[in-house]
Amino acid sequence: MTDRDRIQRDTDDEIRAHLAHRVESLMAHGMTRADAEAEAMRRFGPFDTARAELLVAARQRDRVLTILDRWEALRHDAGYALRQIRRAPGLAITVAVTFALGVGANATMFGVVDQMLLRPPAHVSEPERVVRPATRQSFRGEEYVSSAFGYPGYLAVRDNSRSFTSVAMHTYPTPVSLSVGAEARSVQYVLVSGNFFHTLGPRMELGRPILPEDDVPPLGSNVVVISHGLWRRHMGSDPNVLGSRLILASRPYTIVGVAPQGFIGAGRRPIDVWLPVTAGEGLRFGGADWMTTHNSVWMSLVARLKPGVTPAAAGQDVLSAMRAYRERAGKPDTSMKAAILSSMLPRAQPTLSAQSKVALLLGGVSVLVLLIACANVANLLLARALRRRRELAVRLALGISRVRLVRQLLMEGLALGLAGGVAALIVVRGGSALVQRALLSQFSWADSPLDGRVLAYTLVASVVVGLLSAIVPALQASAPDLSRTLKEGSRGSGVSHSRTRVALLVVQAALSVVLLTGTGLFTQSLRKVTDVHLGIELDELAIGRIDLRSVGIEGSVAEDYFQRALEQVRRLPGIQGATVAEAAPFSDWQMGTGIAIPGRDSVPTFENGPNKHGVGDGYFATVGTRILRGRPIVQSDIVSGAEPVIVINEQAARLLWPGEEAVGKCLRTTELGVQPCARVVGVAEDTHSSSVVEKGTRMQLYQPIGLKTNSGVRAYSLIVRTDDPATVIEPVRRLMQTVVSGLPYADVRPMLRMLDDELRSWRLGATMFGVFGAIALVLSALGLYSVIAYSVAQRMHELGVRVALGARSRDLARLVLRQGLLLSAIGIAIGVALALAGGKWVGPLLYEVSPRDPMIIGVVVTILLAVATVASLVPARRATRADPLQALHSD
Amino acid sequence: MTDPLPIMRGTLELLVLRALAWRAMHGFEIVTWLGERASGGLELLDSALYQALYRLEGKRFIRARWGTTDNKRRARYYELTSIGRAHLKAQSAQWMRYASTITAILAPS
Repeated sequence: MTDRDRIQRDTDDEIRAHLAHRVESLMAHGMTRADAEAEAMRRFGPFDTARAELLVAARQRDRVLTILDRWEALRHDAGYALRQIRRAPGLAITVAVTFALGVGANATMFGVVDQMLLRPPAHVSEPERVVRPATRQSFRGEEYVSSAFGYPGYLAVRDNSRSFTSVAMHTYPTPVSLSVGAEARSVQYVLVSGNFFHTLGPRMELGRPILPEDDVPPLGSNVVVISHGLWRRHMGSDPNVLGSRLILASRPYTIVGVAPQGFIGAGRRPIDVWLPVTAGEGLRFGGADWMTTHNSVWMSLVARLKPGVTPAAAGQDVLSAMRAYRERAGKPDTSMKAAILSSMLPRAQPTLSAQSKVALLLGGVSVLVLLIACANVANLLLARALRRRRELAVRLALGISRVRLVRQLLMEGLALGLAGGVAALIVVRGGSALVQRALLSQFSWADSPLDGRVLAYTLVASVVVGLLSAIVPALQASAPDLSRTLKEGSRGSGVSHSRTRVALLVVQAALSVVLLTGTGLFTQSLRKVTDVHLGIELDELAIGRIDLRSVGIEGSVAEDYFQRALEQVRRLPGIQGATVAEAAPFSDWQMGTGIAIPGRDSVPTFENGPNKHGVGDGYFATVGTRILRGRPIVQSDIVSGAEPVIVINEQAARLLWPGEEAVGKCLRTTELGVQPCARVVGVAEDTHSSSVVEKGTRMQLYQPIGLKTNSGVRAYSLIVRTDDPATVIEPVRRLMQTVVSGLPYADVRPMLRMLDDELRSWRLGATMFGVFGAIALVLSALGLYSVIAYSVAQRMHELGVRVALGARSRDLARLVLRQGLLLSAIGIAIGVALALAGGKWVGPLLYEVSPRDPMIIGVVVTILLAVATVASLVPARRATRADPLQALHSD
Repeated sequence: MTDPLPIMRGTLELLVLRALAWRAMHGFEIVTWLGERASGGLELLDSALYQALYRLEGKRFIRARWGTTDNKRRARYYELTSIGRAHLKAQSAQWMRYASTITAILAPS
């Protein structure tokens, strides 16, 4: 019978009883039965309506009562759980800390992955309709996706495709100097088309966005929209900021709007100011013909799809617009295979960066950490449930239902999980600071890592792990095996219980092996990468760059500037050497050149055509590039009228004069028309150009720096050598900004930072795997310790008997130790198998390390065995104190 | 005899609680008890009483169980719970104060 039927029957019974009573009473007063029945009905009220209303009321009553009952039982169970927790505060703290580490690690990685891969950029309206056009190209047989367009290409897509409500362009975030002199600082700017803000649709914090009327070719209006962060940091969130001026690259711009907090346009990197592309004089890539040139691509597009248009159809549209444009331009493009429209949702990007892949991997790994934490807690709770077995058996015998008992035990897990969840928030705060600000600092992150989504995730994770860890102990402890338990007392062997505990332990050990192997692989990759001989001692160098052209300093004035800066910087304390270079290896600018050798018709072109560097006196000594033969560039080569000389690298010597001595030969560079023949005076060792992992070795040519041989001084940089580059950054920057007055921001940084992007994924992997691996190791050790200690406590009786039968304490210790090591060994073996199997996913993320490196796996196994030994030693010592007398007495 | 007074909803619940403060009763007993006390001065449909009973049950002021009457009839007996008793005490004190205040104002001086 359903509740509904029961309520109806009860209510009808009650009405019937009432009417019967009434009739009886009326008849007792002398009415006939018929009259009494009629009167009873009249007094009851209109029967059908009244009955229906009573049924509704009865159902309502039962619903309320059921809820109240449940709530009360729940409150009771919660109270019981809390009392249990209070009775064993040590265990509660251990469990909460374990959960805090597991959930915290997990929620931290969720926060990172969520912001990197799951969330559309902030303040973009209807982000599902916003797409980024890109083209798939093939070049020398290799396919790649390019999202870069030139301005005519942008116009072609904007004006000749019918799939979009609007198409906007933006350049990539680039640093620019804000104001001049000692105050000058660096901000990230982006140039945008007038419809950029309209396309993305953010609601401005203040003022207005950049509008189409600001962006009128050829010269737009000098207006700027600033970011919320810049507004807050540098303008104190001044509400009257609109209309004030900002000096960018020594040009004044009027602030017309403040973007909403967290708005970073269509990308992931922080941006401080947005300017109309037509107002970006001196900030644009390319020369005066930027609007018409077909040769350079320097912007990305964002477009808003018309409702109902599929990305595939729009892709065709973009492709034909681009093809038609290339035809019109007289440069038909055969390399363009397709146009792809990727969604704004970051996970839908055509290619995932290495950092994203590592972040995803770490997200998965953090789930492993969480599982280990769960296994550990389950183990602790199980041990406790076993200790309480008698109490639970008594309660079951007294008639509490098993469901209720399980619920109480689950409630305990839940309470512990939630306590751990609260503590996990602290871990998330610290962890996010590490991951977001230190390891993935190039991205723009939300101000606080604890947003609603992370909080919700933490809550859900806490509840799930709390329940998950409690369910096995709850089910086992409440198993209806009463009589035996009561008979055995607290000493029962509980074979199936210990089997579960052993299984949990093995799982933990196995997962620890996986995590530690990951740590080893990434750490080894990072070490290999940083050990690569680059030919330049980046770790002892700092590089300073300044955009003099933006303040109108060019030509010989600029040369004078660098001469003076060099003299002054050499006098700074801690500077071991300083030099000026143009387009030096590992600076932002690289310059290619053609070459010619007198007497030869042509020089074979090589895959990695030569790079040309302008270097000053003392360059090679400063950066640590060895001169193998001949001599370096010296001061007397730089003065005007000196004989043209050149230093080449070994690769160039080998390729241009195979089997001959290059020193003394003559070489022309051809990038600015044919230059006078320069005599090779030295051969330098090969160096990398801009990254650790490079395909092949480039030819490199070093010429004396100077106006005579170079196009300008835009790419000049000051390089200083010092023991600790980080400490000289500020003094050098101040100096570079104040050599004369009115100078822009000087960007000075340790040269090792040039490798940040490249090393980031390995650093991220090594650090986070290290943290996770350490957590896993500690948790596994705790788990092993608790299982062995518990087993020893349970076996004290048996051990005592063994002593009585002549076993020595050494035998007992060995017995316990063997148990611990055997369990660990099984876990480790499984873990090694898992690590070997998982290698194929990790392999591509490593550098010159096999994912199955036997050395690393060997070290991991050794560490785990050592930890297992230590964790078993304490209980083993206790086993040696087994007392034969007590054992015999208790029977 | 004047016309019977229609009864206010909250008042009925208070009266029912008062009835049950005496002893556990089934519905008809409560009706009879109220009728005797009011000497026919209250106008009340029997079904309205049951509505009030169900509401009080839902508030846990009273609880019900099936029992047997003196003449062997099955009936649902209601009894006051401890929170029902506390509620009755508080409500009747308040009602008395209210009534005496209003009475004092309305009474011809």
